[in-house]
Amino acid sequence: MTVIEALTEIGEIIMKSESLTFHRLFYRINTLAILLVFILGQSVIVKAQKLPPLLKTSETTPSSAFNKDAIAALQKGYDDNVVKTDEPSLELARQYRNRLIAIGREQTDAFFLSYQQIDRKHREWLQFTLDFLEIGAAAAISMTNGTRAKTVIAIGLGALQASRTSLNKNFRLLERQILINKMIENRALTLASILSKLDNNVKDYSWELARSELRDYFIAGTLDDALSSLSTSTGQAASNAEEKLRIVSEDITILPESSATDLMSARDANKTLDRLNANFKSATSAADKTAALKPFLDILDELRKDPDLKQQIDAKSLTTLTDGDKIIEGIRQIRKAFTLDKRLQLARKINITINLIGNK
Amino acid sequence: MAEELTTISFHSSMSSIKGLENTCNENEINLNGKLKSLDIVVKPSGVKLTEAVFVDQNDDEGLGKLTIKKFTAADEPNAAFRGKAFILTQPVDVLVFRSST
Repeated sequence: MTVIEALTEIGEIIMKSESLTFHRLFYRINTLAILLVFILGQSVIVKAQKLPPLLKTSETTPSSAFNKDAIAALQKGYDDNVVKTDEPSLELARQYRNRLIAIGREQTDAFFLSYQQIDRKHREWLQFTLDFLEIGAAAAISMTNGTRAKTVIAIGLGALQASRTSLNKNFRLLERQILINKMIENRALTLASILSKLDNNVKDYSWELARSELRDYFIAGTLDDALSSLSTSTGQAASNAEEKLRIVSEDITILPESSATDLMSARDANKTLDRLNANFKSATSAADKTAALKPFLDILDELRKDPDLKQQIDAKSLTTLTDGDKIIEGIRQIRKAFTLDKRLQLARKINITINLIGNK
Repeated sequence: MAEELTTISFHSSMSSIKGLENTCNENEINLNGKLKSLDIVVKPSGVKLTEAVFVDQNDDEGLGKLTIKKFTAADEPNAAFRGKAFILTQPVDVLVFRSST
């Protein structure tokens, strides 16, 4: 049946639809849908390219990487030479090993390519068929007369769409390409490791070690490995992101480099506080004590001009204290808190203010 | 009574040992704690940091009086402790001296 014949059939169905019973109409639309799938399927199939003779995967083709005899000969060549101690034999063994590696790589690549093609074809065909059935059901709703018939087809369409969603979700059909991309990445990494050792001598990198890495190369092309490494790498990425977040937030306090001026200001601030406190402690009369306390209060008043500092000073009620030691202790606590909060500019502002006001 | 410790970190891009000395001294004063150790850490994400641990003090006696030098075996006996820090992203062994004046 050609496309034109199929369209004619649709036309006939439309013309006769009024006289057809719902069951007959549904049956004919289904038949038509199957025929159209077949016709269109024939026109969209892209035939696989033929393999060049050198890349044939037959076990009997002499040049094939799957030729058992050729592989056995290489293995024997390796075994014979690797046990010798002279340089030419060991070099020969290295060359045999590298040829075996090349064959192992080609075999693995052939399997992977074949898997990739079959998997992609299955997925594309399944999605195409589901698309086609959905379109067919939607078209049938438009073509059918009668509310009851339309309702039944609509229910059928709803069920089909729900089944498709479930299929895609549970069989991870749409994520398959992500997994294949992960396989490609893992294979490239493993292969790079193998290729980097081709120049190594057979003592450092024996055929047995190479074969073990080739097995890893094969495993890297499997769904299980891709899923596992994807899970590991996303876990690691999450952990790194979390750590960066901790650095940006407060868990890790990273402070900038201090200049000589910053240090001098901090040292002078401590000296100033010590001097003011010594004055306070040496005062004997109440009047002297009040006078000795004034620089502390002036410092606090100046610091309170900054809203953040005011909040902290007021929270500790520093301006109500009458003891130099306690005021100093309060200032130190605020300075430390701002330093750990990575608000070093406020800690430095405290030092500068102590120096400016305390040394008037 | 157990020591109360405060840990902070510095970027691995610290410009020089003198810069490290200034930073440790300023932080001794601002944190009111004596520097106890310096060590390098590389976080799992690859971030390189110098970790400095300070012991909290009740007073400001002796704070901000550190001298930091590149490690030499000859100087080690006179040092308060030996540590490690990233200077210009490279790990450097250092000696930390504490002056009493």
